[in-house]
Amino acid sequence: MVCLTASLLFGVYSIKTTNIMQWLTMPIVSMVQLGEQGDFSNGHSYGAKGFSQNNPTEKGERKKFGESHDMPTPKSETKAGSVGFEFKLGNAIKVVCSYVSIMILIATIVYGIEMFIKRKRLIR
Amino acid sequence: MNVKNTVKLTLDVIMLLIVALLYEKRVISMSFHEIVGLGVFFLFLIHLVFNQRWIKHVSKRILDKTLPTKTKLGYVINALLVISWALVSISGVLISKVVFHINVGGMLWKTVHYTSAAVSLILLGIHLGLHGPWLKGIVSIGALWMK
Repeated sequence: MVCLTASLLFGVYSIKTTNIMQWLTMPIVSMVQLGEQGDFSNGHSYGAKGFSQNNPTEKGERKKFGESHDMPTPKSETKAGSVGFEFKLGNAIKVVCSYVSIMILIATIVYGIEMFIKRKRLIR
Repeated sequence: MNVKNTVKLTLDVIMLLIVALLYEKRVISMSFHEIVGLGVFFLFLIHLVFNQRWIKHVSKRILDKTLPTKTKLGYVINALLVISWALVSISGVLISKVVFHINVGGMLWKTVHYTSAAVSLILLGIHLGLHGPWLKGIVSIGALWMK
């Protein structure tokens, strides 16, 4: 029960603090853009027009969360000159906790609905 | 808890952690995202093999009125999950930058990739929620075992 409450709280905290909500709404935004653009084969890169320019908060999100935003962004150059990303264990743990807690949050809602329906049937 | 359940639960936990990691492609590396993304698809197939009895049984009786609504709902959610995961994998291969260098889809396949991944996250949550009593039982057995 304590674990469940903690994960629920962390899920809500994750939704508020990380870019999960932005990530979840991204498909809808990109579909709208796809419709607006009409022809998407004219060399426009994904997100370059829509997210980077239209979304003023993205820069701040990247600063907070590294280059982890789920869309093509200018890649960082490693010392060897090859394109790569800096791995941070803290970020990995944060990502795992955030997404797992989102799943647990949804799971708890579903489980709660199931229990509610069961209880209602018992009463009736 | 028997051996089969232990293996199943371990596999599920590993899958859950890997899938969560895959939602941010830059957290480890692009190669990790693409290679492990394909790898997790095979883990997903193993998960289906483990549960093949349930799949066969429910597939035969899906139109049966005596089958509980929860089971039917679970079956539909699982089918949608299979479709969304297949879409994530196919679109992932088509927009691959490191492993396959195909990159044929452009924006359309990227949209498919992001949309199906977002849908998968929600469906996974519902899938877990529908297995709530089983998970609750496993957790309580685990707690007893630890004592």
